[in-house]
Amino acid sequence: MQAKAGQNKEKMAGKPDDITVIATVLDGDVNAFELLLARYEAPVAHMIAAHVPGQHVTEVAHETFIRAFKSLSGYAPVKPFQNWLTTIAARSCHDFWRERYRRREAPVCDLSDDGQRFMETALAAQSKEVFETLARQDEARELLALVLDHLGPMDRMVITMTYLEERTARETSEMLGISVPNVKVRTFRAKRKLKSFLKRHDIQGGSHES
Amino acid sequence: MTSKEGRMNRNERESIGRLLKATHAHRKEHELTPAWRNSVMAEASRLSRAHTAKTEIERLAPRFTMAAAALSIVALMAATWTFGTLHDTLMSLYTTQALDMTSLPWTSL
Repeated sequence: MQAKAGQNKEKMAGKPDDITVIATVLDGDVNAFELLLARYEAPVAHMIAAHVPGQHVTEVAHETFIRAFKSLSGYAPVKPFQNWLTTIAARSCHDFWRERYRRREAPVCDLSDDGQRFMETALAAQSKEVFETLARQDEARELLALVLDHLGPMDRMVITMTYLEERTARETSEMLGISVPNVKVRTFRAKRKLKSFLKRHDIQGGSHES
Repeated sequence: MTSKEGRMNRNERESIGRLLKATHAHRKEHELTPAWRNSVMAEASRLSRAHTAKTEIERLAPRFTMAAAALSIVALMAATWTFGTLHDTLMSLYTTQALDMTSLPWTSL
């Protein structure tokens, strides 16, 4: 949305639209690709940061744009360029996790006592403000990472998109290149895993309405 | 809040879900640097050059094929001609040898 508004502004300022830029790149002017980078690096980085650890965002973003450059001739302007790019970014994130899980030697850790205590505190928070403050802490991020580490690469991507980001099954299926029923099955399975993980640690919830 | 049977009720699950969602929503933003952009552009240029070289070879490929085909035809013609004359040469050699061998006993007599 942000990039789209920016693009409209650029169009008003006489800058070429995405289709023109792509045609220029395909004609052999590689430097025109920088315009696409400038337009979309922020939304792509934002999207990637939601799926991979902070220290890996740059490499996955790099991979995304290089993949986009390589398959630029295959882009059909039936959907906005940003959507196409986001799909590539989602698949790059999935590949990142696949590679990462393949290399993983040690089994996934369980929730530490500190983590468990933090979760209890967060869930027992009486006001929304305290809850929000706790959700911004590093412990919360570590906890989320730990919970997601218990899922496979594809289930992890699916649960992040459908549950944490509340995207539709159709949208998720298009971004990850899997069918809608597959997304639904994976979401169900991942939620069940998540529940059993929380149950195993006897995590207690609480009301934190302001 | 966990019930006696160890089962979580709906409110608890929602609270946990809300914590995870809030944590996810508050993730750190990542700013890409100009150095990052330069590295992407450098790789794109490298790929473009490699692609240009590849397409150049692909463009010349039919000419290479034509040249190879022409060379093969010439080689085949030369071989046919050589084998054709080779037969005659061999025959004349055998005949000469046979004549020599038969004339040899007469000269010794």
